[in-house]
Amino acid sequence: MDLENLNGAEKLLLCKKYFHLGLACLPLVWIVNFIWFFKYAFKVENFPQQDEIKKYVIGSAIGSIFWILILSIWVTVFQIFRIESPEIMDYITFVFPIGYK
Amino acid sequence: MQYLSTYISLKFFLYYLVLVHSERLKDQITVQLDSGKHDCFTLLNGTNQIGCQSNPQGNAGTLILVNHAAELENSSNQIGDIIVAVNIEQLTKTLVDSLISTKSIKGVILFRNQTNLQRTNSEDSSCPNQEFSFYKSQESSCEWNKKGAVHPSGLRFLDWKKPVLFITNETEVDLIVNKCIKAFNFDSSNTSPKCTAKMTMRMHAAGDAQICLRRQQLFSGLSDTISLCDPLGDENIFAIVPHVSKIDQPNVFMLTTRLDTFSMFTNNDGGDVSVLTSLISSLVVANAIGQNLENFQSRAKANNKQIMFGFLHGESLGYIGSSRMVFDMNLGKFPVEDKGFSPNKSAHSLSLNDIKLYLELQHIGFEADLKNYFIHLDPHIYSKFKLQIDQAINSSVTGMKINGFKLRKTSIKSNAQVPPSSYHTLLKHEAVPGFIISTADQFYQYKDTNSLLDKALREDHERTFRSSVIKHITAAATSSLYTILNHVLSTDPTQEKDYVIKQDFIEKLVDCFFYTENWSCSFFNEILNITQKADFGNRTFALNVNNSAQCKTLNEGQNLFSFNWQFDPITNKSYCYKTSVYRTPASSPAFEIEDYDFLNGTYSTWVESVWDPRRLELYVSTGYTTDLIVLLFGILFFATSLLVCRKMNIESWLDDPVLLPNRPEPL
Repeated sequence: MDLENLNGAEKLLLCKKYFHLGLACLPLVWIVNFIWFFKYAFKVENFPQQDEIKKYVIGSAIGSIFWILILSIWVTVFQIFRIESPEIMDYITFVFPIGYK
Repeated sequence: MQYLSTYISLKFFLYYLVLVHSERLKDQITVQLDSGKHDCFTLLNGTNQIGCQSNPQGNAGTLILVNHAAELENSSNQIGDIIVAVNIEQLTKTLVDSLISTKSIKGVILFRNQTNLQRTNSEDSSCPNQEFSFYKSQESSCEWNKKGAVHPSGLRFLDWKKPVLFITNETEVDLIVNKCIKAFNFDSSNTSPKCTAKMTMRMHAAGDAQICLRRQQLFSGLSDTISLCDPLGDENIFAIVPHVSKIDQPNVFMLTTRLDTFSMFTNNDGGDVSVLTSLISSLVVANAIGQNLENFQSRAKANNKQIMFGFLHGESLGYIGSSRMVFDMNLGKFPVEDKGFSPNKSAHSLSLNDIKLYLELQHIGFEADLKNYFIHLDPHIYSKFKLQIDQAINSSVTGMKINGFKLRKTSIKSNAQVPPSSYHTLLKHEAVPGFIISTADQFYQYKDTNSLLDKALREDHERTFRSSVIKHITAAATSSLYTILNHVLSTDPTQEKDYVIKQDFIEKLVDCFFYTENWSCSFFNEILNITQKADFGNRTFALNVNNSAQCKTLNEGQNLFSFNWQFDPITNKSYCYKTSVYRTPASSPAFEIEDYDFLNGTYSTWVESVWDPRRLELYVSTGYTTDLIVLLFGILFFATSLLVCRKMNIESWLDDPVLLPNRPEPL
């Protein structure tokens, strides 16, 4: 879908839809939203809906950063504690390494 | 058309040539050595893992030959990974420690090209089963196996973290030593192609037994069920003569031997002195009593005493069989579970205080010049039951003396210990009077107990030891038999002329166990292949049973006797035998108790890892720099050819001149 063919109101609607979709724990949707509408939020000269699009793009950016942070912390913690206390961590592990502790 | 047919026939001829003489490129480069069957495997217990582990893709390294630890220091200056080949009989504590600790050694290949008559190859520790010893809390030292152990912690109980393979095939050893190491790797310079070995023996389990069992259980719900480890377990065998039903009163003399040995290698068939000599002695005693079964049973019943032959499994790895026996006794499930049958059809459940005397045979010898046996006693038990034990000892000593051997007590100091044996398990629970008969005095006489190489008799191809091992077994059997007759029948055993140790039976067993390849002697084949012989027989015991199916049904409705359809090689017929022989599980109570704390050292917690098939490959490799040069050349060549081919019209090459039409053809 080429955003060039849409007018301002349709762009806003699309951006809004993607933002709301990303609220369902879908950080990748927010990342896509951010990248896709970045040009129209900040780079293009002003059109009536640009302020609102800007809001949603920044919202998506914040949301993505939040998710990336949470997931990185969780992955680090899991990998460290999996070896240290297997008696607890084994119950939340899905794939067990074969031949390694 | 002529060109086309020639072209096609040439193609087919080339295919034929290639297919007939084709070989995978991998087979042209590597040599697979896959006739070896002794590979180090992993065991795990409550706290750690022991044995070997390799990377999933294998451990590769330059092969070097080492004769002792000093050579290893020189060779470890080599850059890169190495795999060490060493003669198994040159292993010492220092060599083993450096093999394990050196990070650049990625694997060990063991071979054997001379037999060491010293035979100090025991893979057990200096103090076998120390964690399960009755004397664990005492300060006194335990050095029974100090002279035999290759490593004081036990070669079996080390965590190598690399694969170790033992190669027995002469051709393969020759390949490794002569055609590989001596041909390519003799000078330790870093140039020239080097012979490399790659060893793969990947274990699935890691960490400790609890982790492994828990993960295996959690895995089991998912699609890709994979097995990681199995707890060690087998069966104990007990024979109680005469039978003890619920209406009888038990007063049991227990004669025990162990059934198992271990090694760090798979397919272990060692165990001549660790197991077989004492096992044969016990079987011979059973035979002597069995020849006079009616007489023995009636007299023993009149005397209210019984003999129980115990054959315990798993003893060498933490007294698995005996600890399970005591556990079952405490639950009232020994020798069988109570099924609620009438009292004269149910076996009496025995407990430890029904065992009034205990005798264990250990390390019965085989050399002609070895004439001394020793009795081992626990000093506190001895002082408590002095009269009874002394009387039993007298009979044992007499039995040995008649056969020309000397049996005497080891010195009874207050801190004297009984050698590692199943007796420890009984002592931990109850003060059972008993003693051990063994060739050990302060140290084990035999220095390759519990090892792959405990095969002194199996390798005695000149039969030098045959007559002397028969004499030793006769002596041990007579000694045990006299003790039994004295205790169970309350009689002077020298006056019992009917109870004879049969020489031909000993010879048959010795020939079968020691002097027949793969234990495939006719005697064993006959008594094991019962279905191949005639199904008719009529000897039961006052019951008319004609075939094995009928015999089996007699087992129902009672658990005092077990009825077995068995072939008798002497009369060449099969019969339904009514026996009071019981097979009980010999797996550690640690796996039976709910939520057992694996760190608690009461019961053995050994589990064996599952592993992928082992592989050993040899190939010649040229090292890292050559690989890099070839890669760079390849990239360069590819880039050049790209440039060159841009200029040429490739499509014109693909047109077949024969088939190219002269003019456009109509569609």
